[in-house]
Amino acid sequence: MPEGLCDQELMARLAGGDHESFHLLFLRHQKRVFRLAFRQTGNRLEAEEIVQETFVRLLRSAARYRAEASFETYLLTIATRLCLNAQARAYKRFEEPHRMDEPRIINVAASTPGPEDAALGNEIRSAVRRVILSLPDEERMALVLFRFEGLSYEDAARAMGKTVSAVTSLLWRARERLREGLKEWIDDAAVPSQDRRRKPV
Amino acid sequence: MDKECQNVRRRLALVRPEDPLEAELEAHLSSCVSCRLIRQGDLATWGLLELYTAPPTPSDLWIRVNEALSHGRTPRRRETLGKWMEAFCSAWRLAPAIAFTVALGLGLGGWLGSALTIPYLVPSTPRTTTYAQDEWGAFDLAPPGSLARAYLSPMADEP
Repeated sequence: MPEGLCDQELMARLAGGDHESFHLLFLRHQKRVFRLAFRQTGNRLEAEEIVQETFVRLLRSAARYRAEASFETYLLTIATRLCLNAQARAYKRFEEPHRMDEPRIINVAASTPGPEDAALGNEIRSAVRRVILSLPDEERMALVLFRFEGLSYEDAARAMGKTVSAVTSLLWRARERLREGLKEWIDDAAVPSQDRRRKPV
Repeated sequence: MDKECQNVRRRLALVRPEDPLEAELEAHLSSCVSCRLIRQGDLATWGLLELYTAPPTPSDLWIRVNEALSHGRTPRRRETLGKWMEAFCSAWRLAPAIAFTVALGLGLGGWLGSALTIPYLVPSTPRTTTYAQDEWGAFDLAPPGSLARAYLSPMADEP
C-alpha cells in the first residue's frame, strides 16, 4: 500500500505512472504549499493557482526527480519560483498584485478576551499583515521560508536560487523593516493584555 | 555600541525563537543589557508574525489539479487575468455583434444609395470632352501639319 511509503518512494512510483502516489503526495503537502503561496502573495486566488501549477509541474518533472535534497524542499522550490515569477510578471504589467483577502478574526489578546481585546487583536493582525505584505517580494519570501516554513538558510537559499549570504541579508533587511513597521506594537508587547489599549490619536 | 554587540545583534536577528542560542550569544546576553533588550524586541517581532496566518485550504483543489492535467494547462480564474486580456476577451465575445452591425449598416447604406436619387448631385449638361482631347490638347500649340503635331498627337487632328 502506498500510504506507508515515504515521499521519495512515492515520487519513484509516480515516475512510473502511479497516479495514486500523486494523490497521496498532494494530500500530504497541499496545505503547506498553499500556506506558503498565501503568505507570499497575500491572495487566496493566486495561492490556489500556484498550488495547482506546483503539483502539475511536480507530476511533469517526476521522471527527472533525484532524491538529493528533501522532497519538501524540492516541492517548496517549485512553489517559491512560481510565486516570485508570478509577482515579477505582475509588476511588469504594472499591476499591483492582488492582496485583497482579509484574514479571519482571531483573538490574540487574552485567554478570556472581551470585545475590546478582540478589536485590538484584529488591529494588530491587520498591522502585521500590512507590514509583511509591504516587504519587497524576495525579502518576504526569505522570511516565509525561514520563519514560517522552518527551512534552514541553505534550503531557503536553494529554493530561492540564491546564495546563503544573500538570503541572510534579505532576512536581516526584512527584520529591520518589520521592527520599524511594528514598532508601536513591539513596544506594547511586554505590557499585559488588559492594559494594552491604543493611545488616542 | 561596540563591534561585538553589533555582531551579536546581527546573529540574534537570524535566530528563530524556538532555536537554541549558541553559548557565546547566551554569555553576551547575560552581561549586556542593551543587547538583551534588542533580543526581547526580536522575540516580540517573531511573536507578532504568528498572527499572519493562512486561511484553510480549499476543498476542490484536487479536482482542479486533475482538470488542469486533463486540459494540459492550469485553468486560470478570471480574476487573475490581466486587464488587457480581459478587455480582449470581452471584445472578442462582442465580435459577432459588431460584424453584424457593420454588415447591416453597409447593406442599408447601399440600398438607400441606389434607391434614392438626389437631383442636385446629377450634372445638368453631359460632359462632351473626350479623354483624347483632354490629354492631347496640351499640344495644340504645335503648328498644324508639323511633324511634332503629327508625332505627338495623332488623335487630336482627327475630326
